[in-house]
Amino acid sequence: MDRRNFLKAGSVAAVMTAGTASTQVMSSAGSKTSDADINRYAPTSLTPEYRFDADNKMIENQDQRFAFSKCYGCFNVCGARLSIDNKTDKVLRAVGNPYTLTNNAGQPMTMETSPKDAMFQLSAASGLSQSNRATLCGRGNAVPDAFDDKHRITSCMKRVGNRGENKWQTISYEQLLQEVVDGGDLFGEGHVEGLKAIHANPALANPAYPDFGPVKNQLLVSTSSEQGARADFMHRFVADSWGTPNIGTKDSYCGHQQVAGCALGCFDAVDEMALPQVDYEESKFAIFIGTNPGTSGNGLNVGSRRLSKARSDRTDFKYVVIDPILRSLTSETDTTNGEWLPIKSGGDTALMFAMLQYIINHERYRRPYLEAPSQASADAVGEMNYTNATYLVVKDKKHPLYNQFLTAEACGLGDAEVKMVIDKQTGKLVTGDSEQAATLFYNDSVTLADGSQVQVETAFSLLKQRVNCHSMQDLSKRCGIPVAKIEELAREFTSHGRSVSIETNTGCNATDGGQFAFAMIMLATMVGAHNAKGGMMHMGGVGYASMYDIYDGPLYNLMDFEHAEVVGFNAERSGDYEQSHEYQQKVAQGLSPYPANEAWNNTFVQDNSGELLVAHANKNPFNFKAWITWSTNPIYGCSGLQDQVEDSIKDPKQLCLIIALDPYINETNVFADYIVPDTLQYEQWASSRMWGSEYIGDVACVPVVEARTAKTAKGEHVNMEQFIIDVSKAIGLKGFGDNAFKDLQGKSYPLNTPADFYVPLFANIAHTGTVLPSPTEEDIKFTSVDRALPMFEARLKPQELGPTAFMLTRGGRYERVDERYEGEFFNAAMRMDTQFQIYNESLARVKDSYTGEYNDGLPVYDVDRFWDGSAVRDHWSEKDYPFNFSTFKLHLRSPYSVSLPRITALGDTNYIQLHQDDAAKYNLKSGDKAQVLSPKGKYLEGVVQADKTVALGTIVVGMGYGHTAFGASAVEVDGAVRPGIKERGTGICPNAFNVVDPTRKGASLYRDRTFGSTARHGVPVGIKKV
Amino acid sequence: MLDRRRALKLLAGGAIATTGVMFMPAGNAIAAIRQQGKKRLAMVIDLSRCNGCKACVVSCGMENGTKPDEHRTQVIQTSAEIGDKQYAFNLPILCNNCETPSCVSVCPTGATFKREEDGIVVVDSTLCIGCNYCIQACPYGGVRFTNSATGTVDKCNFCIQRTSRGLLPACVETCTGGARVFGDINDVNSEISKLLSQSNPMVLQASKQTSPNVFYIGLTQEESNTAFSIHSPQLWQR
Repeated sequence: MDRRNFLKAGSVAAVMTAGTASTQVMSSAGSKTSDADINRYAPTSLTPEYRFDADNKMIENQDQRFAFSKCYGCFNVCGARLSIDNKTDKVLRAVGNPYTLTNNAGQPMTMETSPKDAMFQLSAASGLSQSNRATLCGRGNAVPDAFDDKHRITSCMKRVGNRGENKWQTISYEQLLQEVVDGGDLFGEGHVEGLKAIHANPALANPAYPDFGPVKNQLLVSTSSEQGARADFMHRFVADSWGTPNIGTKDSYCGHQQVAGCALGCFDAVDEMALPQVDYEESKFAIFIGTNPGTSGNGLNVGSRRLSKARSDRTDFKYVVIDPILRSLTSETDTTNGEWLPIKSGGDTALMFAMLQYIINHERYRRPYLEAPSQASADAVGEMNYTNATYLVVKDKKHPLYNQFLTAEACGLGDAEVKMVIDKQTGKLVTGDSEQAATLFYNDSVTLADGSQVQVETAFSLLKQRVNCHSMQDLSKRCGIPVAKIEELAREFTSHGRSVSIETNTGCNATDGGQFAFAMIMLATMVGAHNAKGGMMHMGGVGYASMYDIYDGPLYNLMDFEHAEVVGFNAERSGDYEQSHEYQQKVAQGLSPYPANEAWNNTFVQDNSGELLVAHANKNPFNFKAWITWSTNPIYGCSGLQDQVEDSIKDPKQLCLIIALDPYINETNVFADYIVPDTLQYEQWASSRMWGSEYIGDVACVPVVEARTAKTAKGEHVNMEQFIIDVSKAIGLKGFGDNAFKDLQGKSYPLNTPADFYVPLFANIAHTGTVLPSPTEEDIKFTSVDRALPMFEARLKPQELGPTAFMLTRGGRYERVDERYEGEFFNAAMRMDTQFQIYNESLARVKDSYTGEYNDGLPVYDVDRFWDGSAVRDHWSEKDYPFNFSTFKLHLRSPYSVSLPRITALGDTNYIQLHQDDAAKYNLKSGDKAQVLSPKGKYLEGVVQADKTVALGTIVVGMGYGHTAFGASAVEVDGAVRPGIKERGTGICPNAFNVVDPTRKGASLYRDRTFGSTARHGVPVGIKKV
Repeated sequence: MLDRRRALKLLAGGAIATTGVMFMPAGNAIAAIRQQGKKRLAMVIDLSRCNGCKACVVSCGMENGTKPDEHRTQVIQTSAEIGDKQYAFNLPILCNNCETPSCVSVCPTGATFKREEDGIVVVDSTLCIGCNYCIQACPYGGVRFTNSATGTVDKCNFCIQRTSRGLLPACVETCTGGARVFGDINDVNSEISKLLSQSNPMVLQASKQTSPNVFYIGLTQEESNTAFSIHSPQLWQR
């Protein structure tokens, strides 16, 4: 019976009773499933990438080819294995690379395993355990649809009309290149200075700010720090070839202050990095605060698996997720060992201090660990590391070492590097290299070499005082967690020896985000959890670039060329204010140098795209003349930024030339003058660390499909690298063109196409440490590396080919650790052996640019404050703004995933989320429309979702919605309109609405008190029903 | 079998309809299947391992060519209140490829049937006339639907194009938490068989007596009695 006749005939009597079991089944003839059968039962399905016959032999699908590549569905950067249609060159499916620890939790394939073997092991035919699978998350699986996206930019474009109107004309690559390099009256709006003229101009950018360098510093380059070797390529251009300090990333508006804050607890420095992870395998109690284990960017594939295993396979893994909003990781299947604990947004540091207070007052810390002042004394008590808990801090205001450690030099017992402690047994003042335990509590005077007395106190004693400054009740009120619960957490955290962990990932970003992280590390230090089995693993997400010198050798030195000089402070004012012209002028004129006119970052160089644009908006130190923005979106992603800088970006008189390098028009590059189409992940050369990997590893791959981007006249595909190469050659910058770099024998090599850079880089990686072996012919053919080999043969020496090709046949290079643990601690390769800091002396030597006072060496708990030190709540009262505002990163919505139809199909909108009791006070319930009111005078209008899954006193909005670009809006190209796609523009974006700092002059951003990074949480807001 | 009493709260939109308290232990159903001695492909979903990442939903769509908003599988997400605490509830659902399917008996053309060789309930797209009787007969909301591109009924068929050729279904390949396990429950040495013997597997809506071949570890009786639907509004955006 066919469809048409059926419909004509009317209803056919059929017995339909819910729940009636029928034993009558009609089965197909025959028992083997033919291709014809498959076509009938699965007409829209893909044919599989290969099959296994009765003898388990792999029969490859001749219509598809297999290749390894990098997944860039989010910033974790996992390894991917792809199936590519040979006819259409389209990627049909993407799953995980089984060699990487990021995709194959716990059982990655050894590099020795051949790729075909690896695929067999992953198959059903092998009968092997399905715990051995190499996954990609929801985002990664959806990425193949990005390549043919109608809103993807594949041609070179020049704007038509004003900036931001989203009207473009296609031009040739050569025309684009000539116009941006030479300038001219490009838009009928007057003369535009080209890149060549900007670079060549030796004059000061702004004579009023002579310490901000020459005109070439007026090139701003915004980049993506997550693009691995591509980011390094861009950085080489910006810093070493062009020579401007003004390079921006998203790091410091994403949450880098937590990374820097953690480092305060790990190193005697203010510009280091640390971001420890939970040891899922052995942890007895884990706290996840401001992070969503298993679905955040921190290796979702591996995080999800490890959390699931710990939760399901172990009875002794307890964990708590502390967050203003319930996410999906505390499953109702495990209420015994897992729970979500609501915390009021901005209350994170209060909780840390409260726990520290309880632990220290009740002496629940690991005493022998903290009493060890040196490695030798740590060894003597079976500890791996030691701390500076027993170091004596000078507390005499008049002494030159005030708030610094008392040195052996001051005591006539050694040099300034050695610090002093009180021997626990004898009570005598001794040098810190003592092999004996030192006392934790000392608050008295000591006699120096010259007979004088000086008041000193141990770091630990100071810490105890510090964490007792506020009562438990006050701290409890601030975070919204009852005192009894805080004490329970503190007891649990100190009941499992070293096998406890606490982890964060950019979710605790109030103005004290840096201090929160410092305090969080301190908590782990109390019990000696660092580097311990079941404790804190510090070495996650490291790749070859950070652990080895892969750009210098061992075969090719890609940096061997005459480097440009970078002169002057960067425009965001990262540096020592007291070295500045402004400071020196004020002092010379007898004026008080503090407060500085603008906020300075005296700790680490932020490279904050948001703050750099703010400096531009304030013309201070200057407007930028040109802006190259690549693979980033600060207007959308940086909290508070949009209205601070949009006008000054749109105005060609203020910013003369904007060049975007990207596959999409986003909320930032919609203002560009020119767009250079960049490649998408599978079209890219890639070498990158993987965030979720616990061992050193890089995903490394060549382009595995032909780029969809336009071609240059020479037949090369347009992409970021080609553009940077050709601009540099046109300007005559070193490090590009002929004689761009050398091998270690001194022979020169050119850099004219991306392959010229990446081929030698890959050879370097393949030859770093143990030289990789050569792959088999079968490996090369199966992984489609044969298609890439000619590029390598043309550039490498014959003996270098094998190891380099081998790396490509595995999609990268991954180290192995045979034994995860050495006794009670991690294997040395997975440890970060350092002296953990109770008191950070380096921080105590850094001055605040407003007050001119030194920072505190201990963690600080305070209310939220603006740059001028005034309390945020004094400006914006509880009465007017009774809620604290929080944002979080939805796991499906990375910075790019809005362009993926299979992602937008999984959610129509985000919500204004709050507790139903709070909502009721405003006559609000789920489904109602409301406005969240910002003290900045803006509001967010959206749909309420009110239940019990949000902390009281907090309003939460997730990020990744509310796009106006990425195809959400119509785009006109060559007169033809590409309509906007409605699904891409749904929901609300909380960033543009969020507050800035009214105590800073002009345009500003809301700032971390310690580091200056951009903050976004705990912000006062109100709400009203619409 | 512990009967954990809890209140399951769905966010606005979906109401839970309980379908009676009759309960048939999955263990008996499995034994009945095995008695027939045929290869029976089945899936176990361990809810303690599901983190709601939706990799399965996306990979299924990519692999099987369904439109982005037409799903053969979904993960129902909501919060669950237990005692005074809030937890996340993640429930992957798909066609259960039942042993005694309600859909097959109402198909006027024989387009849908249960295969002898492996137990997959398939839809022959060349015979389907789109009457939708099977969709109406199936108690599992939304697991069968009309594919708007083909006009015929679509459903999970355990990636028959892969599983008949020695590969795993797409959702199983990419399940980040390792929640989905697949195989022949008539092979006592298979991983799925071992998993079923070690746990207390439940099925959805046992009272419908369809004898599903998708088993759940960590499902409560109340959840088992609930008529979940793939078409539930996607209100959980986290």
